[in-house]
Amino acid sequence: MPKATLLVVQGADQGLRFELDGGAVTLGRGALNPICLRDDEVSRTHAQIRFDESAGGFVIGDRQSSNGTFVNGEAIQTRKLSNGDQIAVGTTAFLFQEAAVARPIRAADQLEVFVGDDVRERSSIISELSQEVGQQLLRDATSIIKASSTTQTLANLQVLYRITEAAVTPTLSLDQLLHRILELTIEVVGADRGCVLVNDPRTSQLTPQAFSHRRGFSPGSPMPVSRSIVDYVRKKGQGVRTSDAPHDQRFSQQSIMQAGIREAMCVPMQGRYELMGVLYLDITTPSDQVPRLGPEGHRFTEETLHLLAAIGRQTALAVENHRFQDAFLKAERLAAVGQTIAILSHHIKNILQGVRGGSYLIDMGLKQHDEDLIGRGWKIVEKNQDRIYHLVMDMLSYSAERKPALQVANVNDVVRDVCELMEPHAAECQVELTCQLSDQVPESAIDPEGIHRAVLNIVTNAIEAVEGATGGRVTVETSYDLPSDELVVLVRDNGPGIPAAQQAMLFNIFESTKGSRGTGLGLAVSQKVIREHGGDIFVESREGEGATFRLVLARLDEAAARAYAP
Amino acid sequence: MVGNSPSILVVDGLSETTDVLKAVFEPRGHAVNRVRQSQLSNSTLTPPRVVVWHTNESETTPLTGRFQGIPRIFIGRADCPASDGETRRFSQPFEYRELLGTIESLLAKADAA
Repeated sequence: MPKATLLVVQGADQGLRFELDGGAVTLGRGALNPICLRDDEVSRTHAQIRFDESAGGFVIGDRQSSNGTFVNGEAIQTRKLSNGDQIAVGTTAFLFQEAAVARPIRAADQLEVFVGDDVRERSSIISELSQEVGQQLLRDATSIIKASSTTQTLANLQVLYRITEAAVTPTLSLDQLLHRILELTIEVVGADRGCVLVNDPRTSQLTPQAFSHRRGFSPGSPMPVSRSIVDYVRKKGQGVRTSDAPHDQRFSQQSIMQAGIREAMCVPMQGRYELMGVLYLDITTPSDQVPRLGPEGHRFTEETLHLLAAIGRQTALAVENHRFQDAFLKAERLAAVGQTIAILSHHIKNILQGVRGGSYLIDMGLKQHDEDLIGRGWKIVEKNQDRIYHLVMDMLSYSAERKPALQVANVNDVVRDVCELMEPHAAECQVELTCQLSDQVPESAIDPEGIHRAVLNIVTNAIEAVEGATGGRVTVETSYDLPSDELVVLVRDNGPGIPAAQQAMLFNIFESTKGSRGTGLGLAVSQKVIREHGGDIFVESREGEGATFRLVLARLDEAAARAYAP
Repeated sequence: MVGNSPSILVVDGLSETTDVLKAVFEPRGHAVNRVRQSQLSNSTLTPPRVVVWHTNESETTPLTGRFQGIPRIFIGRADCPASDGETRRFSQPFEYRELLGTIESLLAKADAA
């Protein structure tokens, strides 16, 4: 089944990525949508995306939303999606990305690079062009417009615009991008086929990276590419055009003759710092079958060479940007992995230290036949077992693997369990833990295990915030807000409060204000779980006046839960 | 607020360290107390005989001025003060046997002084 992803590029969920596996997937504000958005401008079930065999791709359909569904700025009812399309719903924007599919035919298999005679063949190049001229086309479109027919110039500018657009679309893989550029170029210059040879930074060799041909053209045998032309372009940094290939010594080789090449162009792809490769186009169609011949009776004219030089420059910058982007992503990934390992190692080290303390006391107790000492040691070991358990469960909860298992239950039961579980710990910390459950709270489709973890993390934090303080109090309350049909869990403490500067970072992963005791996972997990239920967590706190965490969940009925069940 | 005068004061860190020290030293007549660094400035604490100070990557360099002249053990960060006559340094994970031995020797030194 084809795969694609939706990347949220704008809105409250920016940065989230949703995988599409071809099955029907709904998106909306409702918690039961596989793509659940925190966006009040989005309808409960706003749109649906699925793979449509007959359309040959993913199709998005609006589900009678209040504010409409837009693809690339245009309101749609249904629309086949293309790679790089931007989908807008409410204040949220997605980027649609099709998974890069390995092309059935590699570019290298479609090309035949051959070495021809070297010295005298320049005579057949009827035109050369410095790369600066191509850049001038980009800078000074007005002068070009004056010098050429308006229709063709507009087409040229349009293709440059489209190439620029494709180049800055972050969704395309390098292969996809080069293929797209070739398609656009072939279309505008009227070539039969073309290829991109990219400089391999490791070997400094030009290797085929993309091949394409115009619609309706049957490529047949591999496209012959003259090594001597390529080397010339590479060495001189100049674009070349030949419009008499059959009499060009460069094309005297059998393969070229058999291929029937009539015209060819090759331009350098000059990047900011180095040559990134070459762009190569040819025509094999006999001139009497070629529409729109230029004044010299050739399809490839001086103007098309200018245009190709500009496209070569654009393509080079795109290749360069892709490489920068790849390097940047790799560096970011490595940094993130390194940071995660460092933080987890720190927590595991703390747990190990605790276990060592407990083991030491047990060992001492065994040697001294002191059961009290053994008991105290065992208590420490058990405490650290719990810490490992919670660390692992938080990591699992935070990972993308875990999906909420909805079932009809009462939030009160979950909150009661948490309070009963935490009661001994609160007593140990000399904290008064109070549980006030409203009997107005209705049943709802929730993931009890997830909600348990979310509430537990927040109650644990609240107890630790007031631990050791005189008169430390933590209150856990539930309520039901009828007008909004929402369930609310309040966790309130009378601790030192949370400074405003820290509040903004509270839910960031691995962000902890608890020093060695905190993993920085708890609140991030709680937020993730509550958001999976279509809700959110709100914090109210002022320094010296305690803190209140308000967990808000949309109530879901039994039918909704059944519909959501896998 | 910490009002009594402990033999050993544990600042910050895991409560397990305090639990182990209490289990070992309290039967020998040494009081062990634990306090947060943030509460130190408000405490009416009289100087202990040994300070065990947990440092953390996210915290600033420990306030050592208050316990000038008192034997100190720093646990945790690598850039905390180096071991010298009155200061010892441990990095996690450490062996409790070594920590307890060090505290015993520092207590003995303090008794002798």
